[in-house]
Amino acid sequence: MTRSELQRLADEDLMPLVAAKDPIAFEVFYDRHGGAAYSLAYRIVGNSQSAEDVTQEALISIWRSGARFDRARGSVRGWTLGIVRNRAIDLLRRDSGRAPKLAFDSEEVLERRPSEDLTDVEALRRETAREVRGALSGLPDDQSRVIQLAFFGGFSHSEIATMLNQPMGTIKGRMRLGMEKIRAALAEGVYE
Amino acid sequence: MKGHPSTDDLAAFALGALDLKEQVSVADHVDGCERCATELRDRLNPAVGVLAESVEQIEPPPSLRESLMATVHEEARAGAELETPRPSRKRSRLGAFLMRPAAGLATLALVAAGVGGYLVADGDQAATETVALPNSLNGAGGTLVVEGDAATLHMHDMVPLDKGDVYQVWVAGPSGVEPSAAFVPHSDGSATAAVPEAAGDVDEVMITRESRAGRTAPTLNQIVFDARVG
Repeated sequence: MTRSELQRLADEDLMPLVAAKDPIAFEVFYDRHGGAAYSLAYRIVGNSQSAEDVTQEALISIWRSGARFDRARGSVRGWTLGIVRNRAIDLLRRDSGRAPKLAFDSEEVLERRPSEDLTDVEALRRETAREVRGALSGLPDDQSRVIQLAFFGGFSHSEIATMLNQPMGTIKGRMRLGMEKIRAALAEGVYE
Repeated sequence: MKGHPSTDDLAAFALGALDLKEQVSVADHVDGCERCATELRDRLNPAVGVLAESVEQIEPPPSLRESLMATVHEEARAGAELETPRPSRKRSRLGAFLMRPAAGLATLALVAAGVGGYLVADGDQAATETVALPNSLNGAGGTLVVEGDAATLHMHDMVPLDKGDVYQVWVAGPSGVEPSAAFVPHSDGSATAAVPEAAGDVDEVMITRESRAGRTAPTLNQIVFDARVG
């Protein structure tokens, strides 16, 4: 299959070719998801070298592990970002001396990446991410905080409960309420 | 786990925020529960996906793509060699891999791979051999990459361990069975371990599940993989 044919395949049809060790299929996979993977890793680990290491490890594990993607469990994008997130959190936990970042990405990062260099698709992706951040900022602070600590900081609900001096049930309840609000916004098309 | 996890627990699970034991327990439940699996797939995971997509999008450095693609193309070439061995190539000392599940899982069948390894570089270059360990029935598997005096084990879908447990790699050679690396898989079941002993004169590589690192002999009823490399 040629590169242009591979580029026309849906993610779900591309992954069996990656599993079959087609390097061009992997290139197409990387071109679709590498940027989001690196961005998420950067958000979690907070520096470019570690983000590069985490992304490389995660994507190579996908290449080496063969046919593990199960379309019944969700999207290729979600699966990939889940693997990247796990690797990044593992790194944070290994490096226990470093506190995770708790705020969303700074404007400084934006300024380093001039938008005129972006392709249309990339610019749209960034615009969507900006809109999503705006919608997430509408969550009540107590819900947003526990979700950020868990997802981007890798803290468990019991660690967050200790950190915030709140009962564990309260922390899990806030997580659920926040997730329900995100889910409701999804259903209304806020994040589409 | 008795009954379904609470909605609070399922949301915390989707965020990866449960403590390890709870995380494993809910994962086991979800594997066999269509209702909870559907809740996760259709409602919670998309919400988690929104979080992952919400981060500021920044351009990865070109070196990331270059490095990844160099590895991928090299391993694809090595894989092609495995599938179509050329008589002119030197047959590796890495022979067929045989993998068997833990002895305690007697209902699982023996899985034989018959995958050979081949040198992919000769002369002054360090020789690289990549040997695939076929997936076990629960999906675990991996590769052993030998390059000169170095060898690295890349595993995937390893079963999570109880706190304190480790996977221990053993190599068997002329002088007997010796311990190599011990490792704990990442939360996604993957693991990478340097096993330089496997690059030497060895007949067999084994992985056992042990209650602690530092054992001098394998607990034989905890064998997870048994790879003959002689």
